[in-house]
Amino acid sequence: MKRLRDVAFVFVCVTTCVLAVTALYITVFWQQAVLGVEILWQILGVSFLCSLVTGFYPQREIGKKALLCIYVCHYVLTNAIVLGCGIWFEWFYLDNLPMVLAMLLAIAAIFVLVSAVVWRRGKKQAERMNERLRLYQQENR
Amino acid sequence: MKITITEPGEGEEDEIIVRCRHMDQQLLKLIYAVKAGREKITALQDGNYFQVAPEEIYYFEAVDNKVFLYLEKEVYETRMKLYELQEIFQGTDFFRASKSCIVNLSKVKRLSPAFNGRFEALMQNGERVIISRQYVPVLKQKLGL
Repeated sequence: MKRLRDVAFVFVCVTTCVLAVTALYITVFWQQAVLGVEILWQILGVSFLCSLVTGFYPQREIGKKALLCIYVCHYVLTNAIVLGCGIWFEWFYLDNLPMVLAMLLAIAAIFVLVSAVVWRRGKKQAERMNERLRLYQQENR
Repeated sequence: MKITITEPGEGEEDEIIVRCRHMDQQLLKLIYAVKAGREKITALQDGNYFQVAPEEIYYFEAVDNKVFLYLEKEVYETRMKLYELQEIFQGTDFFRASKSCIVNLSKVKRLSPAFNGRFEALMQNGERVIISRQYVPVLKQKLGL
């Protein structure tokens, strides 16, 4: 259940960021485009796939190196999902370098932003726990 | 709650009798505290055996099939297994923080988030211990969250 909640939280963050970046991307590269409703489903689908990856983080204990490896794999997989879907949905063309670079930059920016939001969530949780810890130690002194 | 203290007869052992209609959390905590408070751990250092009081212990850690006790500055080894220690200190300030660690909550200075849903406990002696993702709910429950 906790894992599902975490994935849902990441999904909300990713979708929000992707929507903002899409607006910017369309403004720069597809100014004359007439967009259909399918773009919304595409955004939701890609965001869902990217969020789903976070649900596969191992529950068992792993070392710092293994965790770093998983992070790198997560980033590579996110790139593969977004670029793969991007080619399929014709968001960009491989022979258009500025478009490809913009996509890579967008993926990196969203990855960093969502990681920061998740980190902040953990920090808030830690603050609540620290508050309780103080009370616990006062009560048991 | 009424507290009655009576002197045991000649040759009788000291005894605590709890008379209650039902066991609530507070009472259980008290029983565990009395039990664990009297339970000293036999520890080994440089070939010598010592008795260590639980309130002095910051955390237990299992490394290569050996279990170590970490005090403020000293480290001892114990022959006990981590699961045995977990049983002994059940309901006390000690909690399982990871597969290899049992931490004394009363010695934790601060908690901070680590990657992937893990937390890091900064102990009062400046050491850091990782609380793994699967044991975070245990800690939260202990803190009443």
